[in-house]
Amino acid sequence: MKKEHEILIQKKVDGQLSTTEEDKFDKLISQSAEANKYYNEIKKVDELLISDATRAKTIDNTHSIMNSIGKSNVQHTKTKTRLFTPRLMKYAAILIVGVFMGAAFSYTFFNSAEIDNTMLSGTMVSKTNEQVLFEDEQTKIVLHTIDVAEIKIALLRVETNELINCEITNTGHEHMQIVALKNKANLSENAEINNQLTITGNTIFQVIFNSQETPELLFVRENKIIARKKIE
Amino acid sequence: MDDDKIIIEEILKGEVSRFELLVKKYQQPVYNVIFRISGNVEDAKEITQDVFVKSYESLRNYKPDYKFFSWLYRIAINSALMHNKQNRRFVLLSENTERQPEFQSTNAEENEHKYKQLNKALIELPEKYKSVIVLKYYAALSYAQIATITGIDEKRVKSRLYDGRALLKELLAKANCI
Repeated sequence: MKKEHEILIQKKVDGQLSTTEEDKFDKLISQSAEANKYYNEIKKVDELLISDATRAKTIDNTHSIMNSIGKSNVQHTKTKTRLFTPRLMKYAAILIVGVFMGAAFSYTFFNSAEIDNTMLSGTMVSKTNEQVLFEDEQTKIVLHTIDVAEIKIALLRVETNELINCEITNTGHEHMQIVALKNKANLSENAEINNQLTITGNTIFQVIFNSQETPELLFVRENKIIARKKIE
Repeated sequence: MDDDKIIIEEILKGEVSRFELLVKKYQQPVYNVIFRISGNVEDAKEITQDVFVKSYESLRNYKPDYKFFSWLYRIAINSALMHNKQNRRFVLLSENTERQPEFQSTNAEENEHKYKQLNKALIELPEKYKSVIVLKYYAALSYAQIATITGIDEKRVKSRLYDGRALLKELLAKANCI
C-alpha cells in the first residue's frame, strides 16, 4: 500500500481528516480491500491502547515521596545562612574561577579554529587538550579539557543537525555545573537536573567538575551511542 | 498565572508542604508513562519517586515559560529511558511473567491476553516511537505538548506516532491479537 494511503488512514483514526481528505478516505476504503484491512487493524490498535490506558493501576506514593523530599539536602527556604558556610564558600569560589576560565577559554575557542593557549593564564591552567570525539556529515563533537587547580572543565563544541542527548555519569550534582556559553548555545531546559542535556544546533557549553571525579560523557543520537569519553 | 506556577512560587518561598499538591496531581500520569517505558511495576514506582525528588530539588531551575507538567514529563521520560539504557536487559512487565493461558474460554480472558500482548509489544517498540505513543495514550497529551516534551516538531511527532502504531499492529498481528 502507498505511504500516502497509510498516512490518510492513520489521520482518520486520529480524527484529523479535512472534508476533502474524508472524501478521499471513503473512496479508498470502498475500492481497496488492503486499505480496508489496514484501517481496521490500526483502529483496533488505537482502541486497545485507549482501553489499556483506562485500566492503569492506581498508585499513591505521596507519603513516601514527601518523606524523601523531607530528607533531601535541598530545602527551599528563605533562610540564607547556609549559603555562607565555609564549605559552600569554597565551592562557590572554585566555580566562579571555573566559569571565568571557561568563558575566557571559550571566547578563544569560539572565535578561531586554532586555540591560542597563550591567551590563558599560564599560572592556573596546568593542562589543555583538544579532541574530536565524533564527526560525520550531521554531527561534530569537539572536546577541550582544562585542569585548573581543584577543578576540571570540559568545554564542548557540538555542531549538529540532529538532536543529541548527552549524559554525564559518575559525578555528584553538588560538584557539577553546566553552563551554556554564547548566544549560540541551546541546551535543553532540564540540564543539570538529571546530568542529562539535549543539544540542538551549534552549541558550546562547559561542564565543571570537582577534580577528584572522573566523569564520563555519553553522546546519543537517534538512540545510538555515537561518542563516549571519560574525563581523567 | 496557572495554579501550578502559584504553587511553585509558594514552595520556593519555603512552603515545602505545598509540593504535596503537585505530587497528588501528577504522580498517577507520571507513573503510567514511566511504567509503560520501564515495563516493571517496582522500577516504575522507584523512578516515579526519584522524578519527584529530582524535580523538587531542581525547582529553582524550572522556567515558568514552560508548563510545569511538560518539564516534569521530560524529566520522567529521560529518567525512564536512562533507566532502560543502564539496565540493558529485556524487561518484561511483571504482570506478564505469568504463563499465557493455552486457550481463552471467556471474553475477559481474551481481553487480558490482548493487554498482555500489547504490553509486550510496547516493550519491543524502539524508544523513539514508544515515547510518543506512551505520551499520547497514557498521558493523554496533544501533539503540541508531546513536541514540547520530546523536543521534536509536531510533524515528526505525528510521523513517529503513525510508524509506531503500524509497528504495534505488526507485532499484535503476529500474536493473533488483532
